[in-house]
Amino acid sequence: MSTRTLSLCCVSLAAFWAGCSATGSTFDSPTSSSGSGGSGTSGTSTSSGDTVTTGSDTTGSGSSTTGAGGDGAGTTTGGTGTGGSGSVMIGFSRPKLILPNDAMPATMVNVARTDWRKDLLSPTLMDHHHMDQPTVLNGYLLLNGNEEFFVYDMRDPKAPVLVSQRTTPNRCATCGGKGEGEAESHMTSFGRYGDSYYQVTTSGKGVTIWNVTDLAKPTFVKSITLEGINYGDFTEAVWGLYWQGDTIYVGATNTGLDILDAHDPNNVTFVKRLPTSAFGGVSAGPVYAVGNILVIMTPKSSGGLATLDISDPQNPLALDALKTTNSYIGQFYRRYVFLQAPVRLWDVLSDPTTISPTPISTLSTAKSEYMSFSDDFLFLGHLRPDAGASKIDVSDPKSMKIVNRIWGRLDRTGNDDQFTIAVGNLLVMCDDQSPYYGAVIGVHATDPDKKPPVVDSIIPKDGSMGQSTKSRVGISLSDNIEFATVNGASFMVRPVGGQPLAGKWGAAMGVVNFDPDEDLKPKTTYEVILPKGGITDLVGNALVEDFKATFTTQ
Amino acid sequence: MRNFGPVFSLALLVTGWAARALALTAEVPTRDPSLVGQAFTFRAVTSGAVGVTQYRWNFGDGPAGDFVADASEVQHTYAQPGHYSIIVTIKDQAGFTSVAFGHTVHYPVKARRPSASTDIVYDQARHRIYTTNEDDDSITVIDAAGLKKVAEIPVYQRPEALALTPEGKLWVVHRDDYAVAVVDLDGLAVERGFRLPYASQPMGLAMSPTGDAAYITLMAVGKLLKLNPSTGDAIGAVAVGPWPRGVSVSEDGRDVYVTRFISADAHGEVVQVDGPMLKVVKRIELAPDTTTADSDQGARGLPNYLFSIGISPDARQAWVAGKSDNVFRGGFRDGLELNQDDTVRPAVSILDLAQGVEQRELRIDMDDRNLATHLEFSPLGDFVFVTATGSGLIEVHDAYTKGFVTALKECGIAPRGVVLGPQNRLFVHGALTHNVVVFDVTDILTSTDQRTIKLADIPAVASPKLSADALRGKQIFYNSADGRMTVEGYISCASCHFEGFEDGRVWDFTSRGEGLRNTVSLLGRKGTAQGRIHWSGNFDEIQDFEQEIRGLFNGSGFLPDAVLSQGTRNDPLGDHKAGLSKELDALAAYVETLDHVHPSPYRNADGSMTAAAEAGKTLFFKLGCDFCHVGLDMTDSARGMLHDVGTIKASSGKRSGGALLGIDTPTLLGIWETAPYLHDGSAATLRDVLTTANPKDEHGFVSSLTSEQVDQLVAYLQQLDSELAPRRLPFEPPLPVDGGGDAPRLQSDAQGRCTCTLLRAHEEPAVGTLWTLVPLFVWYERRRTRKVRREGGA
Repeated sequence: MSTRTLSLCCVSLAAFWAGCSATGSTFDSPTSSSGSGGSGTSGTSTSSGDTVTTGSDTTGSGSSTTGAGGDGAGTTTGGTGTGGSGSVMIGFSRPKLILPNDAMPATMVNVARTDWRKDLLSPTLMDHHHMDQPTVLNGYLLLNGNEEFFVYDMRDPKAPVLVSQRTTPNRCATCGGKGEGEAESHMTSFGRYGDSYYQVTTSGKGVTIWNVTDLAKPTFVKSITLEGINYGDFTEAVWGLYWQGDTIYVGATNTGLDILDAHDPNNVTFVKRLPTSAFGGVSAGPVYAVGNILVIMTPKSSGGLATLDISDPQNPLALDALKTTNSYIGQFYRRYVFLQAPVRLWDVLSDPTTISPTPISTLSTAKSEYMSFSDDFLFLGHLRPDAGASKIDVSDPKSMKIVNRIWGRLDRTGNDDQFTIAVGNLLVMCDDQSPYYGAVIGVHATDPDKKPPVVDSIIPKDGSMGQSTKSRVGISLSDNIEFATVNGASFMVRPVGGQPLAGKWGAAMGVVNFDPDEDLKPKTTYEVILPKGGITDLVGNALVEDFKATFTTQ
Repeated sequence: MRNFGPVFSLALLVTGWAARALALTAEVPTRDPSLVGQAFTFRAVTSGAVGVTQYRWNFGDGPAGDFVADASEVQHTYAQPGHYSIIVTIKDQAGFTSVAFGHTVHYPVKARRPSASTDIVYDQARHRIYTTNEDDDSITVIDAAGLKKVAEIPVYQRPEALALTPEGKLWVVHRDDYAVAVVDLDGLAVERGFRLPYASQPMGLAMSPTGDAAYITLMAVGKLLKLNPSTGDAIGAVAVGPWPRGVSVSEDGRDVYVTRFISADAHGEVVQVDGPMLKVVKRIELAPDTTTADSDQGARGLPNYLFSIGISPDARQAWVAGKSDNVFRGGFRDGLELNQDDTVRPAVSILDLAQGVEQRELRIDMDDRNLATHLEFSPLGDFVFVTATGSGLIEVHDAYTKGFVTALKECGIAPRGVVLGPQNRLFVHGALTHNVVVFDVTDILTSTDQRTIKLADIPAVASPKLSADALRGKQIFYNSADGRMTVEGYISCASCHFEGFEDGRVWDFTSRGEGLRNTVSLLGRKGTAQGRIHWSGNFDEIQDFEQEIRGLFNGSGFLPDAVLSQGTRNDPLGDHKAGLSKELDALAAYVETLDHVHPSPYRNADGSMTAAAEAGKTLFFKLGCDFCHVGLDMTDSARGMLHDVGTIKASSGKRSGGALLGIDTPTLLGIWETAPYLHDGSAATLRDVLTTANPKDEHGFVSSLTSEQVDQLVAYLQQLDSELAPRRLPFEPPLPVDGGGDAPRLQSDAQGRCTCTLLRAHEEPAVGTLWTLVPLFVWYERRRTRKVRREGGA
């Protein structure tokens, strides 16, 4: 109900964000043509002013009241947004909402089981709704469920405000083997085309594309039916989605890997399906594209992982694969695939052609199902009646340690609160266990999160030669990234000494990708630049070191 | 640009990732399986290579090798069977490519395939599929090539299993008619038939692969019958213990394995019989799981409902399909409430046939599924198709790792048997949708693709005998793949009342406002025709199961919330629910069709009561047992009475959350097969009901009887059934005209040859003559001093 005015930095303005003022001084002319090609969205949404008043936060209808062309997108400062050919100076972009990151009392952290209420901050959100993996975009909390999606403003985490809700068109609430329209959002991913944002979500018959530029008014773009997907649980279901740029990869469980062409985000089309035998016979759950490497992890009732070369994005080639004992779901963090339980991890990026059959280490825990990561911590969701998550220190992959426990709502029967995402020192927990109790926000640390994200891996690797001219650049970081901070100023690819390339970006959790609009030039060295102060985590901690890498095309 | 040049790098990637080859393409053209321990040659074919070509073979059973020049053809020996993922990476001077494919390594399979009881068979000679239609007293013939129904042949009552004889005839075993029909497959008609022992409930049929024996399980009498498969003559029989159902014969005909359908409390059981000697060799125990933590990923439980057993073609292992009943959980037992996913879960047990033991650690828990009933091994023995009947699908499992591979969905409602036909076509019998669903599983069997390819859905029955309502109700009864019934797919009515029967278990329904409750058979009860439902009589219509569906199964229910909350409808004894949901009404229509119990095999072979039972009958009335066990159904439940016969204990709990002052009188029809007894299953036998569970004569003045008289009373109780005269089968002589009260009963002798005798019809229970009323009065006066609660209304 409140209207807040937010000042944001722009090029050469004093920093509102740490490191912002460094932009443009470290590297030469970070320029880009914004509103890059092919998005075809009506009205480029780049704000022209250097100050933007955010819209009314009134539930449901919240719209931007000022800001040229402002339909609620994350604000890019100083850009022109003409989408034309002119190269213009742009600055870092920032999310519309600033998420809270305040100190929390010690009495709220690592409480005894009997004191479970003490670590919870918010009331129950969307009670009686089935919730899966929560995400954050543009400072909003996205609660993703069975073909229904809820957006919250959680700037006051004690009283989050529902901003929008939507249901996949033609949802069949009684379809599927359990008769409940199962289409669990085990993963969701985002594409950024200029200042337009798109989300790909799981649907009962395939996937759905949304325009989420204005999360107060997200719009349906298109549903794509995929062969064999039919409101399944761990078969005939979509468990993985990664929007890399021009390509969306879909982990379609027993039906394999689906590849979608997202060159035009308003008309995403099916390209092809790879059967599971094309990547080691593992069922395809969560998928992460990192540059020219695709990592596939298994869904429930199987176990394993696979690495593929996606130098040619529509023609993946198997590199290595591993079948393991069952894992409820896999997750990717930094350079590792995590499976569980017990929690096990493998390095899959250092040499994706040769994955050790034995994990780096193993940690036995209480029974678990879902995982999220932040700043070298794994949040491992547990089963009822022990709802909530363990916080596990994974900074030393050879020796994982349980740090503390965040309890979910233990007064609810059959509740597990185990799908999580860390927002600073808060932990959003979602319940996917019947009878479904929506979500709740708890606390996992006392101190505010001041830890900056760091780049863990980049593909193509720094100094690598002979790379495909179709290469995309993927970066894996130590924390989940606020995608609204990823743009041509904060994630730049250019020929050494040349102009930054136009392109689009994709992201899921801590992995972001840049996909150039045009093929790269042969036998050319490109540099990848992530200036400090540019990309931030979900609560505004930016890179504190410039990151730079090069690769050379074949 | 990186130049691989003449110096071979050990990996594609040293400091960076190599580019795609510009022209190089490769394939591995042949994908044959190989045998464990035998070297196998793999060959990659490339084209368009620039300069020297190097190969790196990753066989999936150890570290990948290095790149080797010109290694397009390599040999590899696998030490273990499995489905390996092979990746061959090939690079030339310009870049690389790779080929990934699945490779099957298996044990040698035996020359003959083991046999197992089933309701669907493939006739290789005639390219046909045959299925039983148990509700419709027919079998269906399907063209396995054209995928069309060829014929539906009427047989006898309740065909359960079928098998091809060495002579190419089809035997069909019938439960209700305890008879075998021999079908001429060229003429597509029953050519002859013969009876099996009276009321024996033949269920399983397996021909020995050696062609010299047919084995039939007689579930009601605990025997395995061995017959000459050509003539039908009995060779012999062996007592194997209660509830023999599934039967499987090893490829050499030596070992016959029989599953005990309903387990004793101690453990599940598979009985190993020496076929030639017809002797029990071993009882293989399936131990209860008391250690797994109950969660949505698994639970404790006792193996039960062991439907079938399948032997692998390599003769190394056998899989047993069943469920796991968590009888360790409950408010009274361990303080934990029963819930939708920790109560009953499908379980498949793995037997090591060399050791003759279950490999307990390999037992398969099927997540989110209901009722594993049937198993079919792939020809190489490397995959197993497991039917999840309540879930309407087939799970494919890796026979070596036991792991889940994929699921074949939309198999109709209550799929049962599956069989592999020609061209890797899998035929699935959808028992309650009366269809045969056909899948192409070639890609699954070659580890090429795990998606489902459905080829056909063939209707099997022209006009179902069940009414549309009852059929729909039966489908609902079995189907757990319906969020209205249960949220995660584990429970339907059939989970504990398969075929309308019971599961031999005592459940702790404390969380349902009740207590320990012995599962009751629904047979003969005709829905609510005998009166109120449950041991506490807390439901007065079948539609009240909306309460259990919501409360225990976590289903969303068949009634809208608003309708359920109107008036006193949410109270099972309040406003009625009938007529408000077509699904609940259909459910009621189905259980109302369960109008008779199974005939008692304790009777004489001619179907008459034994002399002891006749004596017991006199005692029954003399003791006044018929005061409560009254009328044709032998219960006063319809009067709305509850009685305390001294069996209520603390563990008996409550009645819908209130005081439990008495127990609803159970019918006595069919109790010969429903042990244990009493509401809490505290009496193992009928004799215990009368004696040890009746120390103060509160449940009849039994202490007045001699031990021999108690035996006689038990004999009578064991012979109470629905008094149905056997149907005359076509091969039997015509019946004489009914002579007023004497109904003829047709019989077969132990050798399966038909005999025909006249049986005096069972009399209606006599209502007291003076001399029976005296002790009755005494007993009744004693009863009056105890808690007897009359319910209003009824």
